[in-house]
Amino acid sequence: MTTSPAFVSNPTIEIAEISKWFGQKVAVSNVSCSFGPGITGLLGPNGAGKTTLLRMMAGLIQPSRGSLSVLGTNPRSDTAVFQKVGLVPEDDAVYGFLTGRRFVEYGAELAGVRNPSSAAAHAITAVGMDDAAGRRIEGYSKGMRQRIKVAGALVNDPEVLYLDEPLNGADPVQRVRLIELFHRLADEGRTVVVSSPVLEEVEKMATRVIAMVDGRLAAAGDSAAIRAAFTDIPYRVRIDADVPRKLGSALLSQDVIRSVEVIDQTIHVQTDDLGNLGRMLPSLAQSLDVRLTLVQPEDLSLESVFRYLVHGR
Amino acid sequence: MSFGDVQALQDVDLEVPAGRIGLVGANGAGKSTLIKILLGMLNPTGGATEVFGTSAQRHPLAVRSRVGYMPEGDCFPPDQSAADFVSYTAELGGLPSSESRQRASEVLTLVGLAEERFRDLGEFSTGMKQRAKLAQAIVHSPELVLLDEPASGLDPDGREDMLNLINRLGDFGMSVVFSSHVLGDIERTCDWVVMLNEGRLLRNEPLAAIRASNAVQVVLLDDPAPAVAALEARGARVRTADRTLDVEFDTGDPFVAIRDVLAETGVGLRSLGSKQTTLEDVYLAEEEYTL
Amino acid sequence: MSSEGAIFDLDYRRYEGERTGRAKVRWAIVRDGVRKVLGLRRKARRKVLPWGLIILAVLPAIAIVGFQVFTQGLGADELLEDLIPGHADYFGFTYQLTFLFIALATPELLIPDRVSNVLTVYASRPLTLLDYLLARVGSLLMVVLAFTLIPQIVLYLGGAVLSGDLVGHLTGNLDLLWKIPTGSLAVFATQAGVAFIISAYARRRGIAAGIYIGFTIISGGVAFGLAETVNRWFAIIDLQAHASVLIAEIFGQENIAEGTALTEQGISSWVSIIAVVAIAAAASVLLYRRYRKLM
Repeated sequence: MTTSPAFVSNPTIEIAEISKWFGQKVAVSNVSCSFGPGITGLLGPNGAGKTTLLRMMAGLIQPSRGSLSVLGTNPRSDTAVFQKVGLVPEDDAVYGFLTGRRFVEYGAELAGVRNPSSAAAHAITAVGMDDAAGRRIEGYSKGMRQRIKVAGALVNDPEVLYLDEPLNGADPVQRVRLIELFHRLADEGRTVVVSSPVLEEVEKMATRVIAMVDGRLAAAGDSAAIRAAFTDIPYRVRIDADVPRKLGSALLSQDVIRSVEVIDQTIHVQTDDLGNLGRMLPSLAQSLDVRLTLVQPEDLSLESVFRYLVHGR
Repeated sequence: MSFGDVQALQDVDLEVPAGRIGLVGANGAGKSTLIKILLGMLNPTGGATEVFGTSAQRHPLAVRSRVGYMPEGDCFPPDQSAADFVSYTAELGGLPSSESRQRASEVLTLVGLAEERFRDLGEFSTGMKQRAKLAQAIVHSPELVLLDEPASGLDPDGREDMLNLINRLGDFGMSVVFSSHVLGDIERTCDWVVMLNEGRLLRNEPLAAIRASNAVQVVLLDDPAPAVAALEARGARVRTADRTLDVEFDTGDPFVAIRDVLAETGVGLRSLGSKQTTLEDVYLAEEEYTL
Repeated sequence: MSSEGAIFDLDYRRYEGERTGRAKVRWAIVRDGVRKVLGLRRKARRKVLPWGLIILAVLPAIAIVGFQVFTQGLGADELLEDLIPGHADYFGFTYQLTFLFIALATPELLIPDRVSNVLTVYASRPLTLLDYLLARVGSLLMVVLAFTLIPQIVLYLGGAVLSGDLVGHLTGNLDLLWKIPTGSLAVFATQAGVAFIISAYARRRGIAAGIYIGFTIISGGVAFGLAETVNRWFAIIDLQAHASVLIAEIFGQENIAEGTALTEQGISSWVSIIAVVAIAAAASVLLYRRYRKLM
């Protein structure tokens, strides 16, 4: 029996037919999926329902319909589960007057951590904020605020971690460090859910994605597999060559190629089978004595997948 | 334009040509400080700044009449319509009131707010506000536009639209300084890059120069071992990471060699191209250097 | 005959025309301030208070004069003359209203721009901080002047028509030509100074208005009480009183200032002049320095 890629075999979070509406507005509509250990990306346009879903998963709001379980319990009623869940929200909670260290320590105390100051120190080091932890949060840059929020969410060693735009404002080096950190956390067996509109970043963090459009589940699973699921949209590949027309017409005579377009030194090819193209291209080029300087699939990225999901083409 | 050394910036000394210029760095690296100095909003503690040959310190007003600014945060009165406010900012920029209304309408249409332009700015979503901010930055026909995190808060579609708009600004005869911490956006839109790191200048050169490298990057579909062996036999230096190879030849044409090796070994090709050093690579290298 | 077709580029147009000078830019800010204060181009309810006050200030003058003109010759003239307020008296009436108007208008001019961070947009335009502040003060001045001058002009012209001798009346009362504007200016200077300082710091318009109104009313009572009990010089805290004193001085009508702490304590009107100038100067400096830090 095959299960849909929306579900994992060892779920920590299970979502069954969840809907949430605010008056007339339906924010989340009949979503069923599950999350397990590792990093899962949650994607969607603004207003797609991602933040609402995350909030329900964190137990902050009650679903209008359907059921949700985190680590086996309902996060809304079982507050003990909070000790195992960390949330890094996108909006800025107002803690400006606290120092970074104190903010994290309070979080540790609230979560009932055994040794709050050492847990806080660990979390602060993990996010690279040792130098700045003694300063007040109101003086922090946006990237620093994000990192201290992450520290706050890590301090109770959570099994489940929700990150809403965690890299917002972080500088290039911090971003790489944070992504490494998230990978480490995921490798340790935690369930990490990341929501972000910057798809390049999500690509670096998560192989499994859940995509929402207009409150509904639009796609789920491995991003390459999702792309492959668009069977009526052939792959687009760009090929730069010194004698493009010669190569282009040869390609056109191949069955696996649906269409060929030549613009200056570039050939744009559409094919249903990337593997087939990739295997025959070098020998074809060699036999025609054509020099290839670029071969690049153009729509495998998460951005392209996303575009197809939202716009259908 | 040339800059000099400053407070939150140190010994930043550079000249930048017209075009699409990326200003990159972390928050706190000095990007906003630099922008404010260019606008004459802040005075550097040392050194001098010139924009289009005019001193930003001595003649800030002359500079500002040729420059547009799209700030990062909120800057709109909630109870005014977009058309009204943008038309007002046009007048503030030195346009006669007869022209202002017309231009405000045109510019708002250009950024995709044609239908919403008579609604109050307080009702706008984040994406709409970003577009309106861009509109007020270009309505007075500046020669240079300074964009501070223009895609912030936008979803992937909105980002894409904004980046396309930014690309088109160059077609309208405007130079653009695009300040952002999202390196991918900069790599997609700019021809020249100013990289700041903790208040100091890391790089100031054309993007192409930064990205250029001698290596060719090849991603394979199958086990790379036969291909690696064959390439090395031809004298290449190959670095392998899973199925990704970075191939460097000292002499000869690397592309032809790679093509031939793949044709002969039958290893499938996923992608091929000159390895482009990314801006992220530059920062990481710098980090390792200072450590 | 050839057929031709052309496509016109609907894209961005560069503006190659003339740029207006700083004066026009300042004027644009003044106009914007006037619109904010009078609620023009905004939702209808924003117009209620300012226009309500304006009508309240102007209507009586029109009503009185109108009434006088219509009933002229009906034999009630002498009766009515006693009821008709003179210029100075009418000033005494209007400056209560300008006080309210300034309380409501000043926050409108300064606070939203600051709180919504519109100052960033101003900072990136070719204008200086001084341009902005002067224009804001200028907007308020223009509207308040109109507020006070219009009824006075109505009274003036009305008086001319009623006296039957237009030219005579006009030439005979030329001193009003300087007295009226000076009076308006004096009222403005006394009332706006403190209002601007409060609005430079407050974050909500309602609070700024409330503080200003409360401060003025309380200071009146406090001044009176302290002047009686502790030291007569405490009378100078009463700002509204200074306005009265100045009006009384300008128009030579002492009854306007009657009952205020200042006159009770017999403090010379020179003190009022100095106090008003001092407040205006202090307000200007404080306003500039506060905004300097922001921009």
